Amino acid sequence: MGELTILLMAGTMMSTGPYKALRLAEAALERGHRVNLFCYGEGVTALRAKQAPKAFPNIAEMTAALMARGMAVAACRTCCAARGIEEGDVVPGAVIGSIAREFMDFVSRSDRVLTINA
Amino acid sequence: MPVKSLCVVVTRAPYGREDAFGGLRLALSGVTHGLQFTAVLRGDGVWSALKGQRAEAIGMPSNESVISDILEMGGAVWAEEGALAARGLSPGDLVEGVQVAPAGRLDGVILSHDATTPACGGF
Repeated sequence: MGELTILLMAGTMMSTGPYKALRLAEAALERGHRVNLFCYGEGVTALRAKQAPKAFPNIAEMTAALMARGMAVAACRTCCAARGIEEGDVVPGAVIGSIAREFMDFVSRSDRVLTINA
Repeated sequence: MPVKSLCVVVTRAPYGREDAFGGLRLALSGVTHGLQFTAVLRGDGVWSALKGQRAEAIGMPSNESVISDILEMGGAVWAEEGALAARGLSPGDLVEGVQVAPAGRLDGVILSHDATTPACGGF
């Protein structure tokens, strides 16, 4: 089985990018692959735990469900700080880390890197 | 096979959006980490390589500085020749060390990497 890293740069409600990213992650997990999600730039807003969209999919709940199935999740600390997002604001278990550590670790062990920025 | 090299493709102009800075910062981190990260500037992305940017005038971090840092750390930065000409720029206007090539050759540069990250936004 392979390992996939998804670099998410699209914000949670700005497009269907995060939804598509998670659907892809789900499909990869179902096929037995390991999946990592790294949120960068506006993509870090996808990890806000208290999202409550009325009509759209709840990205935080989807993320938590996939994490329970083994998806590793990390976010860029600088990007979070820029948006006032702190440790307690994100989906439990998601790591607020760095490009240099978590993202590079994800990339160096992945067979594929997929970027979703829209 | 694990990803060993990644190409960041920047197509947005600096300062109006986060994409260009974010993409270049990603490339810098990769180079610093010892992986083969390359930045390719296409379309309005070539503006990031312009010499003499005064980002401090608008209180923004400098894309020129990030490009200089990438080059200093041993990374590669490419700019699209046609995009420069279309904007009245020449290779001499760019940060020293930025390589210039026609679009067809840049396609080859991008495809020579294990993965590509488009830092071009969606809107």
